[in-house]
Amino acid sequence: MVMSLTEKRYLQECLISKPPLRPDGRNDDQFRPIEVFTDFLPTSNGSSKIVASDGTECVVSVKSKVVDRSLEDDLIVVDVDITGRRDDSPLVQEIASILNRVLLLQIDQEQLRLTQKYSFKLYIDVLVLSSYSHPLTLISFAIYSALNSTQLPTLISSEDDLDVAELPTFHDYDMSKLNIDIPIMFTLAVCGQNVIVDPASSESDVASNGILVTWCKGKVGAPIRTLSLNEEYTRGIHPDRLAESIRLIEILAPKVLQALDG
Amino acid sequence: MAFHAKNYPVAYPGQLLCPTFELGEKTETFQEIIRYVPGNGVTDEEYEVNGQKMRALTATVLGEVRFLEQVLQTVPTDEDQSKDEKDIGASKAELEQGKEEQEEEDKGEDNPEKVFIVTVADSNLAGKHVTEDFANNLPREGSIVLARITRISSQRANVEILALENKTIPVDSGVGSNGAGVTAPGGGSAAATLSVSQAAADLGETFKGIISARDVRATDRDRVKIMESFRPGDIVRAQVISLGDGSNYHLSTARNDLGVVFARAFNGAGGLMYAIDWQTMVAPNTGFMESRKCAKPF
Amino acid sequence: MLNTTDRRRILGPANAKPLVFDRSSVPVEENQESAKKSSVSTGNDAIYIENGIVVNCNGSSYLEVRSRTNDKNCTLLLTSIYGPRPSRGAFNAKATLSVQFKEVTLEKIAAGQIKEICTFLTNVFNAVVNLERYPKSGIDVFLSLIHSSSGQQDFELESIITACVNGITLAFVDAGIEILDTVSAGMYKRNVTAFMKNGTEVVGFWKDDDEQSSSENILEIVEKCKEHYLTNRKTMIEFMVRNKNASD
Repeated sequence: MVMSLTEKRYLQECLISKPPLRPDGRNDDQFRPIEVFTDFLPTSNGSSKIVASDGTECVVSVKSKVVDRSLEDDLIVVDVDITGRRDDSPLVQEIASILNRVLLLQIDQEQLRLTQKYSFKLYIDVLVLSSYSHPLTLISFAIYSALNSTQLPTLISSEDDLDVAELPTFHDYDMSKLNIDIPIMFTLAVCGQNVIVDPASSESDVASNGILVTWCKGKVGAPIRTLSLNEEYTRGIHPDRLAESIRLIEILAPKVLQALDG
Repeated sequence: MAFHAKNYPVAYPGQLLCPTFELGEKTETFQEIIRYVPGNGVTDEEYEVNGQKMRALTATVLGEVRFLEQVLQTVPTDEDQSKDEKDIGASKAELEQGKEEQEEEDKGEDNPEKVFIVTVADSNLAGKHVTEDFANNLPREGSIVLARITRISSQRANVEILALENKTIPVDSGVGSNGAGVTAPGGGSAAATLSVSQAAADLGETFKGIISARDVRATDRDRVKIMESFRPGDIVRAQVISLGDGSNYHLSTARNDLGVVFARAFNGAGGLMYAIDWQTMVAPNTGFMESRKCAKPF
Repeated sequence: MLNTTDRRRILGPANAKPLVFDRSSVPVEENQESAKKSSVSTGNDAIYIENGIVVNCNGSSYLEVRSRTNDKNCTLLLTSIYGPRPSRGAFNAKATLSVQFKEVTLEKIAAGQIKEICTFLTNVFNAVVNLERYPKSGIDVFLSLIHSSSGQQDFELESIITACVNGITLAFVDAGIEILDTVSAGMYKRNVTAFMKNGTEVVGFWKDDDEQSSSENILEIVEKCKEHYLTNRKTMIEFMVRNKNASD
């Protein structure tokens, strides 16, 4: 929804006040309700669909392939498609690049190893059906749930294939669960002295700046950076806001993971 | 010592210049207030010092600091207006506000107030050949511009803005790159967002404007015929009346000193013509006369 | 615009040759002279700055930054700024900023990562440029990375981003486009922070490793970056002021 200047000004005043008055009545550390469905695509190894209360909807599918480890460097590839945006638009390219790097950086590729020679390669396809706010948080939640529900075929051939060359063979119907540490990412908006999590689109439009925080293996990790939420109201922020947002995530992330796992 | 009397070294972006106001001379009966208004190259920024917020004027470009005392007039005259045009448009609103406040104060007590417009300008910056003040002069309300007529219809004349009067243009010609030196091929926001074919047609793109029929002259507006006022190719002196929409500025020539300044006879095929009165131009070597809305030349 | 052909020009017959005038040699010499003047080496030997070497743009800067970790590594960056010039589409009361980054020699950085840098820098300078002053227009920043580190694959993203922030600020000053502060960036390990208002405000933060990522340590990183920022800023201001005085 496009707001008039006066509406924006009003909203900005609300968000700057202490404590922030958010248009949907949330606290500064409260997420919007989301619905998650997993494992509904029969042709992929893992899948998830996530729907946020503002109508943002995101589908993620995980497919796998057996590859020769010596030939492939990156064992995870993320492809992002956002409805209504061109594939070469800055937002889509930026999100795809961040996700690719975070997953490669944070996921131990050894965990995808199949035999001495072969390994699984994961193809993660992200489709954002409709997006009203910065979709990164939601996409990362969806990827988390999809990877958590991913089932890979169980290997029945020998794991040591260095001496005796042998192609890996799999059990006909047994699947084993993929077990990896999956990073999740949070976007936060800074409004004056306040830091709010999971900004809605109207809140993003008037935020002074955005912060991206990654959570992995039980702690905050890379990348952490400032993020563009709008062009009009972007301003400098006090360094304390950075620390504050990380503190918020340190408290919130375990709870969010618990909710996503449950 | 008052800030406006101080001697400033070269200012750089982010340098604090002075507060938004300060108290000047004080006698038993009155307290002088000195107010500083940001002009070109200066902005009013909020700073936090030891947890306290305060506003201060900050330089935004590299150059020399100047303080210009604003002489207050209760009724804006022509002179006042042109002065405003010359130095600032953006702070006009603030100025007026300042004036109003000042008037109120004047009525209440006898507190004299001085208003200074603070500007920072670099005399050597403008591509190094022009000595006038360079700031990135974009057309705004009230500016006088020189424009070329690109097409006409019965309701309006479309123009491209070539230059702002008495202002230098940036090296890469932000205002009208036609004929103003070297331009950047393939550069620019258009090139980044559009396909090559579209961008190519826009090389040498300019700010565009519209002179609608009712803004051609001040009298007898209903009977204006664009055909008898402008022809494509004419160079027109016009005033910006509004920023208009996304693509066009709205211009007006409804003043004696505004209108066609240069025109060629026979739709551009003939020689230069000269104005003989405010609506006729003559080609000296053929003696043919054409009708135009001419600007008063002197 | 529906019709993309240019109807404004009379192109003349197909075999017509454009009239070319000899450029008088005087301004050329003048340019060289001014370029010479601006190549004052700064007190801090780690940075070499030159201004205004691209003649057809509104403002430009050239930076050579020696790596803090390895003496042999050097980042060479050329920044040029075009505009403000007319933008298209809907009415916009503020200018739109765009940042394009390009490696002009060896291409080592992935395309997606370049986009990340561009949006990051755009975000930084959206907070810094006085965009209200330039309605209905677009300002374009072009970064050309001439050299970074040695080796085929290896590059230091942190030093590149730091150089970009400093280079863009200097180019804006050269162009005379209004910026709220002499913004500069400082780096510490693999972290970059861009500050304004003497280090009291952060306009950009970029962290690419897992170390010290807890909330207490972040402030420590910011402090370390600030030290580097303050020296960078000082060098830049010294250069600007000296350059200005020399040209007077």
